[in-house]
Amino acid sequence: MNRVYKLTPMSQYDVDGVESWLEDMALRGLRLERFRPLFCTFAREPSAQIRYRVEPRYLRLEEEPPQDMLDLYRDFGWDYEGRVSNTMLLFSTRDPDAPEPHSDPELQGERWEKLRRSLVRGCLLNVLLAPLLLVLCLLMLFGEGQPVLALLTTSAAPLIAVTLVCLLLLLPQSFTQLRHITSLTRRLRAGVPMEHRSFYPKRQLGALAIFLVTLAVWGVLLMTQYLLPLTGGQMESLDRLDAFTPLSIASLEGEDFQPDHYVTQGIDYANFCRREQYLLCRDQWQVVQTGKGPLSDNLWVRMDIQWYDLPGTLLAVPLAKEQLDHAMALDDDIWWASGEAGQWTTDYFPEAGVDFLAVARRSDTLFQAAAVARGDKVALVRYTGHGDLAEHLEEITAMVGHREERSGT
Amino acid sequence: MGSKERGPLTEPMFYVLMSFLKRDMCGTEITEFVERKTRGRVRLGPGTLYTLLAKFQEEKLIEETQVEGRKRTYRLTDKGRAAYREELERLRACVADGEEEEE
Repeated sequence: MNRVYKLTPMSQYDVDGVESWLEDMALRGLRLERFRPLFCTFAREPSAQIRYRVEPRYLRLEEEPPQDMLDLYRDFGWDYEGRVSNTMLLFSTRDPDAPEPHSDPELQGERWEKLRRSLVRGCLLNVLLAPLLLVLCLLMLFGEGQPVLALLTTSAAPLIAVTLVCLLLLLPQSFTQLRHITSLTRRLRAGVPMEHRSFYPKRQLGALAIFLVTLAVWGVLLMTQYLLPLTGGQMESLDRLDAFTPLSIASLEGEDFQPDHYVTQGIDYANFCRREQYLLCRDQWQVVQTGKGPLSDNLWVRMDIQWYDLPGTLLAVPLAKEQLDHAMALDDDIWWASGEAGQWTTDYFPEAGVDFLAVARRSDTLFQAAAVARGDKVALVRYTGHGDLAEHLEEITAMVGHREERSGT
Repeated sequence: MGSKERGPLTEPMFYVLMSFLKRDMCGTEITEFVERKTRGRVRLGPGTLYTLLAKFQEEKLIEETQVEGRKRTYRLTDKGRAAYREELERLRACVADGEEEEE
Protein backbone atom coordinates (compact mmCIF):
# COMPACT_ATOMS: atom_id res chain seq x y z
CA MET A 1 0.00 0.00 0.00
CA ASN A 2 1.27 3.44 -0.90
CA ARG A 3 1.76 5.26 2.40
CA VAL A 4 2.33 8.96 2.82
CA TYR A 5 3.68 10.62 5.97
CA LYS A 6 2.77 14.21 6.69
CA LEU A 7 3.69 16.50 9.54
CA THR A 8 0.65 17.36 11.63
CA PRO A 9 0.33 21.08 10.98
CA MET A 10 -1.59 22.00 14.12
CA SER A 11 -1.92 21.10 17.79
CA GLN A 12 -4.16 18.08 18.31
CA TYR A 13 -6.25 20.27 20.60
CA ASP A 14 -7.13 22.56 17.69
CA VAL A 15 -10.14 20.32 17.13
CA ASP A 16 -11.77 22.21 14.25
CA GLY A 17 -8.34 22.51 12.60
CA VAL A 18 -7.65 18.77 12.88
CA GLU A 19 -11.05 17.87 11.41
CA SER A 20 -10.67 20.39 8.56
CA TRP A 21 -7.15 19.22 7.68
CA LEU A 22 -8.09 15.53 7.61
CA GLU A 23 -11.12 16.27 5.44
CA ASP A 24 -8.93 18.27 3.03
CA MET A 25 -6.42 15.41 2.91
CA ALA A 26 -9.23 12.96 2.04
CA LEU A 27 -10.32 15.24 -0.78
CA ARG A 28 -6.72 15.14 -2.06
CA GLY A 29 -6.80 11.32 -2.06
CA LEU A 30 -5.07 10.78 1.29
CA ARG A 31 -7.08 8.74 3.76
CA LEU A 32 -5.89 8.83 7.35
CA GLU A 33 -4.35 5.62 8.64
CA ARG A 34 -2.92 6.83 11.91
CA PHE A 35 -2.98 10.15 13.70
CA ARG A 36 0.00 11.26 15.76
CA PRO A 37 0.63 14.67 17.33
CA LEU A 38 3.81 15.17 15.25
CA PHE A 39 3.10 13.35 12.01
CA CYS A 40 0.26 11.32 10.51
CA THR A 41 0.20 8.33 8.21
CA PHE A 42 -2.07 8.38 5.16
CA ALA A 43 -2.89 5.84 2.47
CA ARG A 44 -3.36 6.89 -1.14
CA GLU A 45 -6.94 6.32 -2.22
CA PRO A 46 -9.32 7.93 -4.68
CA SER A 47 -10.43 11.35 -3.53
CA ALA A 48 -13.41 11.14 -1.18
CA GLN A 49 -15.64 13.36 0.88
CA ILE A 50 -15.04 12.12 4.42
CA ARG A 51 -16.17 13.82 7.59
CA TYR A 52 -13.91 13.48 10.60
CA ARG A 53 -14.99 14.19 14.16
CA VAL A 54 -12.85 14.37 17.30
CA GLU A 55 -14.47 13.16 20.50
CA PRO A 56 -13.09 13.68 24.03
CA ARG A 57 -12.59 10.42 25.88
CA TYR A 58 -9.87 9.57 28.37
CA LEU A 59 -8.21 6.19 27.81
CA ARG A 60 -5.31 4.60 29.62
CA LEU A 61 -2.26 3.52 27.60
CA GLU A 62 -3.47 0.14 26.30
CA GLU A 63 -7.17 0.68 26.92
CA GLU A 64 -9.57 0.35 24.03
CA PRO A 65 -12.66 2.57 23.72
CA PRO A 66 -15.82 0.92 25.15
CA GLN A 67 -17.40 -1.43 22.64
CA ASP A 68 -20.94 -0.12 23.28
CA MET A 69 -19.72 3.34 22.30
CA LEU A 70 -18.16 2.09 19.05
CA ASP A 71 -21.28 0.03 18.28
CA LEU A 72 -23.56 3.01 18.80
CA TYR A 73 -21.44 5.24 16.58
CA ARG A 74 -21.35 2.51 13.91
CA ASP A 75 -25.17 2.25 14.04
CA PHE A 76 -25.23 5.90 13.05
CA GLY A 77 -22.69 5.46 10.23
CA TRP A 78 -19.54 6.58 12.11
CA ASP A 79 -16.40 4.43 12.10
CA TYR A 80 -13.73 4.57 14.76
CA GLU A 81 -10.42 5.69 13.24
CA GLY A 82 -8.21 5.57 16.32
CA ARG A 83 -6.85 7.86 19.00
CA VAL A 84 -5.84 11.46 18.53
CA SER A 85 -4.23 11.31 21.96
CA ASN A 86 -4.97 9.45 25.18
CA THR A 87 -7.80 11.92 25.75
CA MET A 88 -9.41 12.12 22.31
CA LEU A 89 -10.83 9.66 19.77
CA LEU A 90 -11.37 10.13 16.07
CA PHE A 91 -14.42 8.99 14.09
CA SER A 92 -15.16 9.30 10.38
CA THR A 93 -18.01 8.78 7.96
CA ARG A 94 -18.36 8.77 4.19
CA ASP A 95 -22.15 8.88 4.48
CA PRO A 96 -23.37 12.42 3.83
CA ASP A 97 -26.65 11.58 5.59
CA ALA A 98 -25.04 10.32 8.80
CA PRO A 99 -26.19 12.61 11.61
CA GLU A 100 -23.64 14.77 13.38
CA PRO A 101 -22.48 12.98 16.56
CA HIS A 102 -23.65 15.86 18.71
CA SER A 103 -26.92 17.71 18.68
CA ASP A 104 -26.74 19.10 22.22
CA PRO A 105 -23.83 21.56 22.49
CA GLU A 106 -24.22 22.05 26.25
CA LEU A 107 -24.00 18.33 26.89
CA GLN A 108 -21.06 18.12 24.51
CA GLY A 109 -19.47 21.01 26.43
CA GLU A 110 -19.65 18.97 29.64
CA ARG A 111 -17.52 16.26 28.01
CA TRP A 112 -14.93 18.75 26.79
CA GLU A 113 -14.92 20.38 30.21
CA LYS A 114 -13.56 17.16 31.73
CA LEU A 115 -10.71 17.21 29.22
CA ARG A 116 -10.09 20.89 29.90
CA ARG A 117 -9.73 20.20 33.61
CA SER A 118 -7.17 17.47 32.96
CA LEU A 119 -5.23 19.90 30.71
CA VAL A 120 -5.24 22.50 33.50
CA ARG A 121 -3.82 19.88 35.87
CA GLY A 122 -1.16 19.01 33.27
CA CYS A 123 -0.15 22.67 32.87
CA LEU A 124 0.07 23.15 36.64
CA LEU A 125 2.18 20.02 36.92
CA ASN A 126 4.59 21.34 34.30
CA VAL A 127 4.80 24.68 36.09
CA LEU A 128 5.62 22.88 39.35
CA LEU A 129 8.03 20.50 37.64
CA ALA A 130 10.22 23.29 36.26
CA PRO A 131 11.51 24.62 39.64
CA LEU A 132 11.76 21.05 40.92
CA LEU A 133 14.06 20.12 38.04
CA LEU A 134 16.07 23.27 38.60
CA VAL A 135 16.59 22.36 42.26
CA LEU A 136 17.53 18.79 41.30
CA CYS A 137 20.02 20.10 38.76
CA LEU A 138 21.62 22.41 41.32
CA LEU A 139 21.74 19.63 43.91
CA MET A 140 23.52 17.33 41.47
CA LEU A 141 26.03 20.03 40.65
CA PHE A 142 26.69 21.35 44.13
CA GLY A 143 25.73 18.37 46.29
CA GLU A 144 29.23 16.86 46.35
CA GLY A 145 30.98 20.20 46.75
CA GLN A 146 32.74 19.87 43.38
CA PRO A 147 30.42 21.58 40.88
CA VAL A 148 33.05 21.97 38.14
CA LEU A 149 34.03 18.30 38.28
CA ALA A 150 30.36 17.24 38.47
CA LEU A 151 29.62 19.31 35.39
CA LEU A 152 32.53 17.81 33.48
CA THR A 153 32.25 14.17 34.47
CA THR A 154 28.54 13.47 34.82
CA SER A 155 25.79 13.87 32.26
CA ALA A 156 23.00 13.96 34.82
CA ALA A 157 23.15 17.69 35.45
CA PRO A 158 23.19 18.73 31.76
CA LEU A 159 20.50 16.12 31.11
CA ILE A 160 18.21 17.67 33.67
CA ALA A 161 19.12 21.16 32.50
CA VAL A 162 18.18 20.31 28.91
CA THR A 163 14.93 18.72 30.09
CA LEU A 164 14.20 21.87 32.03
CA VAL A 165 14.81 24.05 28.97
CA CYS A 166 12.58 21.80 26.85
CA LEU A 167 9.91 21.94 29.53
CA LEU A 168 10.07 25.73 29.56
CA LEU A 169 9.88 25.79 25.76
CA LEU A 170 6.88 23.47 25.82
CA LEU A 171 5.01 25.48 28.46
CA PRO A 172 3.72 28.10 26.00
CA GLN A 173 2.50 25.25 23.79
CA SER A 174 0.64 23.71 26.75
CA PHE A 175 -1.03 27.03 27.43
CA THR A 176 -1.99 27.41 23.76
CA GLN A 177 -3.57 23.95 23.84
CA LEU A 178 -5.41 24.85 27.01
CA ARG A 179 -6.62 28.07 25.37
CA HIS A 180 -7.98 26.12 22.37
CA ILE A 181 -9.95 23.72 24.57
CA THR A 182 -11.14 26.45 26.97
CA SER A 183 -12.47 28.47 24.06
CA LEU A 184 -14.20 25.40 22.58
CA THR A 185 -15.73 24.44 25.94
CA ARG A 186 -17.02 27.95 26.57
CA ARG A 187 -18.68 28.14 23.15
CA LEU A 188 -20.32 24.76 23.58
CA ARG A 189 -21.56 25.48 27.08
CA ALA A 190 -23.05 28.72 25.79
CA GLY A 191 -25.04 26.57 23.35
CA VAL A 192 -22.96 27.43 20.26
CA PRO A 193 -22.38 24.29 18.18
CA MET A 194 -18.95 23.42 16.84
CA GLU A 195 -18.17 24.66 13.36
CA HIS A 196 -16.03 21.68 12.36
CA ARG A 197 -14.30 23.96 9.89
CA SER A 198 -11.47 26.40 10.50
CA PHE A 199 -8.24 27.68 9.05
CA TYR A 200 -5.20 25.74 10.10
CA PRO A 201 -1.50 26.48 9.78
CA LYS A 202 0.52 24.93 6.96
CA ARG A 203 3.09 23.55 9.31
CA GLN A 204 4.01 23.43 12.96
CA LEU A 205 7.80 23.44 12.95
CA GLY A 206 8.29 24.67 16.52
CA ALA A 207 6.94 21.54 18.17
CA LEU A 208 8.81 19.30 15.73
CA ALA A 209 12.07 21.15 16.31
CA ILE A 210 11.69 20.94 20.10
CA PHE A 211 10.88 17.24 19.84
CA LEU A 212 13.85 16.43 17.61
CA VAL A 213 16.31 18.52 19.62
CA THR A 214 15.10 16.95 22.86
CA LEU A 215 15.39 13.48 21.37
CA ALA A 216 18.89 14.13 20.03
CA VAL A 217 20.17 15.73 23.23
CA TRP A 218 18.71 12.97 25.38
CA GLY A 219 20.24 10.37 23.08
CA VAL A 220 23.69 11.93 23.29
CA LEU A 221 23.52 12.55 27.02
CA LEU A 222 22.20 9.11 27.89
CA MET A 223 24.83 7.52 25.70
CA THR A 224 27.60 9.49 27.34
CA GLN A 225 26.17 8.89 30.81
CA TYR A 226 25.73 5.14 30.50
CA LEU A 227 27.73 3.88 27.50
CA LEU A 228 30.88 6.01 27.47
CA PRO A 229 31.97 4.96 30.98
CA LEU A 230 31.90 1.34 29.77
CA THR A 231 34.70 2.14 27.30
CA GLY A 232 37.17 2.65 30.17
CA GLY A 233 37.41 2.44 33.92
CA GLN A 234 39.52 -0.69 34.24
CA MET A 235 42.90 -0.65 36.00
CA GLU A 236 45.89 -1.06 33.72
CA SER A 237 49.65 -1.17 34.18
CA LEU A 238 51.42 2.18 34.17
CA ASP A 239 53.10 1.56 30.82
CA ARG A 240 49.65 1.79 29.16
CA LEU A 241 49.54 5.49 29.99
CA ASP A 242 50.24 7.44 26.80
CA ALA A 243 48.52 10.77 27.31
CA PHE A 244 51.23 12.39 29.45
CA THR A 245 54.31 11.61 31.49
CA PRO A 246 53.24 11.42 35.13
CA LEU A 247 55.23 12.81 37.99
CA SER A 248 57.15 9.84 39.37
CA ILE A 249 56.90 8.99 43.06
CA ALA A 250 60.40 7.51 42.81
CA SER A 251 61.81 10.88 41.80
CA LEU A 252 60.35 12.39 44.99
CA GLU A 253 61.32 9.58 47.31
CA GLY A 254 64.83 9.02 45.97
CA GLU A 255 66.75 6.12 44.58
CA ASP A 256 65.98 3.72 47.40
CA PHE A 257 62.28 3.90 46.82
CA GLN A 258 60.73 0.47 46.55
CA PRO A 259 57.38 0.23 44.79
CA ASP A 260 54.71 -2.00 46.27
CA HIS A 261 53.12 -4.70 44.18
CA TYR A 262 49.76 -6.18 45.03
CA VAL A 263 49.05 -8.22 41.93
CA THR A 264 45.80 -10.10 41.56
CA GLN A 265 44.71 -11.60 38.25
CA GLY A 266 47.32 -9.58 36.40
CA ILE A 267 46.33 -6.26 37.95
CA ASP A 268 48.73 -4.42 40.23
CA TYR A 269 46.49 -2.64 42.70
CA ALA A 270 49.46 -0.67 44.08
CA ASN A 271 50.60 0.89 40.82
CA PHE A 272 48.11 1.35 38.05
CA CYS A 273 46.49 3.82 35.72
CA ARG A 274 42.85 4.10 34.75
CA ARG A 275 41.25 6.00 31.91
CA GLU A 276 37.65 7.26 31.83
CA GLN A 277 35.79 9.27 29.23
CA TYR A 278 32.94 11.71 29.61
CA LEU A 279 30.98 14.01 27.39
CA LEU A 280 32.71 17.16 28.63
CA CYS A 281 35.99 15.50 29.56
CA ARG A 282 37.15 13.31 26.71
CA ASP A 283 40.04 11.89 28.77
CA GLN A 284 40.39 11.54 32.50
CA TRP A 285 43.34 9.55 33.76
CA GLN A 286 43.98 8.42 37.28
CA VAL A 287 47.54 7.33 38.06
CA VAL A 288 48.28 5.67 41.39
CA GLN A 289 51.80 4.87 42.62
CA THR A 290 52.60 3.43 46.06
CA GLY A 291 55.63 1.98 47.79
CA LYS A 292 57.97 2.17 50.76
CA GLY A 293 59.98 5.29 51.43
CA PRO A 294 63.75 5.31 51.82
CA LEU A 295 63.78 6.61 55.38
CA SER A 296 64.04 4.38 58.41
CA ASP A 297 60.37 4.87 59.27
CA ASN A 298 59.54 2.50 56.38
CA LEU A 299 56.42 4.61 55.84
CA TRP A 300 53.91 3.71 53.18
CA VAL A 301 53.94 6.48 50.57
CA ARG A 302 51.37 7.12 47.92
CA MET A 303 50.77 9.41 44.97
CA ASP A 304 47.46 9.81 43.21
CA ILE A 305 47.37 11.90 40.02
CA GLN A 306 44.15 12.98 38.37
CA TRP A 307 44.64 14.30 34.85
CA TYR A 308 41.93 15.91 32.72
CA ASP A 309 41.73 16.76 29.03
CA LEU A 310 38.88 19.22 28.66
CA PRO A 311 37.11 20.32 25.47
CA GLY A 312 38.08 23.96 26.09
CA THR A 313 40.09 26.24 28.32
CA LEU A 314 37.18 27.92 30.12
CA LEU A 315 36.86 25.49 33.03
CA ALA A 316 40.50 24.43 33.33
CA VAL A 317 41.64 26.88 36.00
CA PRO A 318 38.37 26.66 38.00
CA LEU A 319 38.73 22.86 37.97
CA ALA A 320 42.36 23.03 39.14
CA LYS A 321 41.45 25.39 42.01
CA GLU A 322 38.41 23.36 43.00
CA GLN A 323 40.33 20.08 42.97
CA LEU A 324 43.16 21.53 45.05
CA ASP A 325 40.67 22.77 47.65
CA HIS A 326 38.92 19.41 47.58
CA ALA A 327 42.22 17.53 48.00
CA MET A 328 43.05 19.56 51.09
CA ALA A 329 39.59 18.95 52.56
CA LEU A 330 39.89 15.25 51.77
CA ASP A 331 43.23 14.86 53.49
CA ASP A 332 41.88 16.75 56.50
CA ASP A 333 39.39 13.92 56.99
CA ILE A 334 41.78 10.97 56.68
CA TRP A 335 41.26 8.72 59.69
CA TRP A 336 44.89 7.73 60.23
CA ALA A 337 46.10 11.33 60.45
CA SER A 338 47.45 11.26 63.98
CA GLY A 339 48.08 14.01 66.47
CA GLU A 340 47.08 17.62 66.05
CA ALA A 341 45.94 18.54 62.59
CA GLY A 342 48.44 20.82 60.92
CA GLN A 343 47.53 23.89 58.93
CA TRP A 344 47.56 23.89 55.16
CA THR A 345 49.74 26.46 53.46
CA THR A 346 49.47 27.03 49.76
CA ASP A 347 52.13 28.52 47.52
CA TYR A 348 51.19 29.88 44.11
CA PHE A 349 53.60 30.07 41.20
CA PRO A 350 52.29 32.66 38.76
CA GLU A 351 55.60 32.84 36.93
CA ALA A 352 55.72 29.13 36.14
CA GLY A 353 54.58 29.57 32.55
CA VAL A 354 51.22 27.88 33.08
CA ASP A 355 47.71 29.24 33.66
CA PHE A 356 47.65 28.03 37.25
CA LEU A 357 50.08 26.25 39.52
CA ALA A 358 49.85 25.85 43.27
CA VAL A 359 51.37 23.51 45.80
CA ALA A 360 49.78 22.98 49.20
CA ARG A 361 51.39 21.36 52.20
CA ARG A 362 49.92 20.47 55.56
CA SER A 363 52.43 21.35 58.25
CA ASP A 364 53.85 18.56 60.41
CA THR A 365 52.35 15.90 58.15
CA LEU A 366 53.30 14.14 54.94
CA PHE A 367 50.23 15.37 53.09
CA GLN A 368 50.81 17.52 49.99
CA ALA A 369 48.81 18.45 46.95
CA ALA A 370 49.55 20.30 43.74
CA ALA A 371 47.26 21.50 40.99
CA VAL A 372 48.26 22.72 37.57
CA ALA A 373 46.33 23.97 34.55
CA ARG A 374 47.50 24.99 31.14
CA GLY A 375 45.15 25.49 28.21
CA ASP A 376 42.64 22.65 28.26
CA LYS A 377 44.73 20.31 30.45
CA VAL A 378 44.50 20.02 34.22
CA ALA A 379 46.38 17.82 36.66
CA LEU A 380 46.04 17.30 40.38
CA VAL A 381 48.64 15.52 42.47
CA ARG A 382 47.87 14.18 45.92
CA TYR A 383 50.98 12.94 47.62
CA THR A 384 51.79 11.42 51.00
CA GLY A 385 55.54 11.02 51.34
CA HIS A 386 58.92 12.48 52.18
CA GLY A 387 59.65 14.49 49.04
CA ASP A 388 58.66 18.08 48.38
CA LEU A 389 56.31 18.75 45.47
CA ALA A 390 57.52 22.35 45.30
CA GLU A 391 60.91 21.05 44.19
CA HIS A 392 59.41 19.22 41.24
CA LEU A 393 57.51 22.01 39.53
CA GLU A 394 59.09 21.31 36.16
CA GLU A 395 57.78 17.71 36.17
CA ILE A 396 54.38 18.84 37.42
CA THR A 397 53.97 21.46 34.69
CA ALA A 398 55.23 18.96 32.08
CA MET A 399 52.13 16.85 32.77
CA VAL A 400 49.95 19.54 31.19
CA GLY A 401 52.35 20.09 28.26
CA HIS A 402 55.12 22.60 27.67
CA ARG A 403 54.24 25.93 26.20
CA GLU A 404 56.61 25.27 23.31
CA GLU A 405 54.78 21.99 22.52
CA ARG A 406 51.41 23.67 22.64
CA SER A 407 52.46 26.45 20.27
CA GLY A 408 54.04 23.86 17.95
CA THR A 409 57.48 25.42 17.96
CA MET B 1 -29.81 13.03 42.28
CA GLY B 2 -32.89 15.18 41.92
CA SER B 3 -33.60 17.50 39.07
CA LYS B 4 -33.00 20.50 41.30
CA GLU B 5 -29.33 19.52 41.49
CA ARG B 6 -29.26 18.62 37.81
CA GLY B 7 -31.03 21.78 36.66
CA PRO B 8 -33.52 21.97 33.82
CA LEU B 9 -33.23 19.23 31.23
CA THR B 10 -32.08 20.16 27.75
CA GLU B 11 -34.44 19.36 24.90
CA PRO B 12 -32.61 16.16 23.86
CA MET B 13 -32.51 15.01 27.51
CA PHE B 14 -36.22 15.55 27.88
CA TYR B 15 -37.13 13.65 24.72
CA VAL B 16 -34.81 10.76 25.51
CA LEU B 17 -36.50 10.30 28.90
CA MET B 18 -39.88 10.61 27.17
CA SER B 19 -38.97 7.82 24.76
CA PHE B 20 -38.90 5.27 27.60
CA LEU B 21 -42.36 6.10 28.96
CA LYS B 22 -44.24 3.38 27.10
CA ARG B 23 -41.62 0.69 26.54
CA ASP B 24 -37.99 -0.26 26.79
CA MET B 25 -35.85 1.10 23.97
CA CYS B 26 -32.48 0.57 22.31
CA GLY B 27 -30.27 3.35 20.87
CA THR B 28 -31.60 3.49 17.31
CA GLU B 29 -35.21 3.20 18.53
CA ILE B 30 -34.70 6.17 20.83
CA THR B 31 -33.39 8.25 17.93
CA GLU B 32 -36.27 7.26 15.68
CA PHE B 33 -38.75 8.06 18.43
CA VAL B 34 -37.29 11.50 19.10
CA GLU B 35 -37.08 12.38 15.42
CA ARG B 36 -40.65 11.22 14.78
CA LYS B 37 -42.01 12.93 17.87
CA THR B 38 -40.35 16.26 17.05
CA ARG B 39 -41.04 15.93 13.33
CA GLY B 40 -37.33 16.04 12.58
CA ARG B 41 -36.68 19.15 14.69
CA VAL B 42 -34.48 17.26 17.18
CA ARG B 43 -32.03 14.78 15.68
CA LEU B 44 -29.87 12.81 18.04
CA GLY B 45 -26.37 11.88 17.02
CA PRO B 46 -24.41 9.00 18.52
CA GLY B 47 -22.25 11.32 20.63
CA THR B 48 -25.21 13.00 22.30
CA LEU B 49 -27.10 9.73 22.74
CA TYR B 50 -24.11 7.88 24.18
CA THR B 51 -23.38 10.72 26.60
CA LEU B 52 -27.02 10.92 27.65
CA LEU B 53 -27.42 7.19 28.17
CA ALA B 54 -24.20 7.08 30.22
CA LYS B 55 -25.25 10.12 32.24
CA PHE B 56 -28.78 8.80 32.87
CA GLN B 57 -27.42 5.41 33.90
CA GLU B 58 -24.96 7.07 36.26
CA GLU B 59 -27.78 9.12 37.78
CA LYS B 60 -29.93 5.95 37.90
CA LEU B 61 -32.67 7.50 35.76
CA ILE B 62 -32.52 4.54 33.37
CA GLU B 63 -31.11 1.02 33.59
CA GLU B 64 -29.92 -1.51 31.06
CA THR B 65 -32.33 -4.44 30.70
CA GLN B 66 -31.00 -6.54 27.83
CA VAL B 67 -27.89 -6.96 25.71
CA GLU B 68 -28.29 -8.87 22.44
CA GLY B 69 -25.09 -8.69 20.44
CA ARG B 70 -24.63 -5.01 19.66
CA LYS B 71 -28.17 -4.14 20.73
CA ARG B 72 -28.55 -2.74 24.24
CA THR B 73 -31.99 -2.04 25.65
CA TYR B 74 -32.78 0.35 28.50
CA ARG B 75 -35.81 1.17 30.64
CA LEU B 76 -36.88 4.09 32.76
CA THR B 77 -36.48 3.76 36.53
CA ASP B 78 -38.92 5.27 39.04
CA LYS B 79 -36.39 7.99 39.66
CA GLY B 80 -36.21 8.66 35.93
CA ARG B 81 -39.96 8.81 35.65
CA ALA B 82 -40.08 11.29 38.52
CA ALA B 83 -37.40 13.42 36.87
CA TYR B 84 -39.36 13.41 33.61
CA ARG B 85 -42.60 14.42 35.36
CA GLU B 86 -40.85 17.15 37.26
CA GLU B 87 -39.47 18.58 34.03
CA LEU B 88 -42.88 18.27 32.39
CA GLU B 89 -44.44 20.27 35.23
CA ARG B 90 -41.74 22.90 34.87
CA LEU B 91 -42.38 23.22 31.15
CA ARG B 92 -46.16 23.39 31.71
CA ALA B 93 -45.63 26.18 34.20
CA CYS B 94 -43.45 28.02 31.69
CA VAL B 95 -46.09 27.68 28.98
CA ALA B 96 -48.85 28.77 31.36
CA ASP B 97 -46.84 31.82 32.39
CA GLY B 98 -46.21 32.73 28.81
CA GLU B 99 -49.84 32.33 27.79
CA GLU B 100 -51.03 34.32 30.77
CA GLU B 101 -48.83 37.21 29.72
CA GLU B 102 -50.23 37.14 26.20
CA GLU B 103 -53.90 37.29 27.30
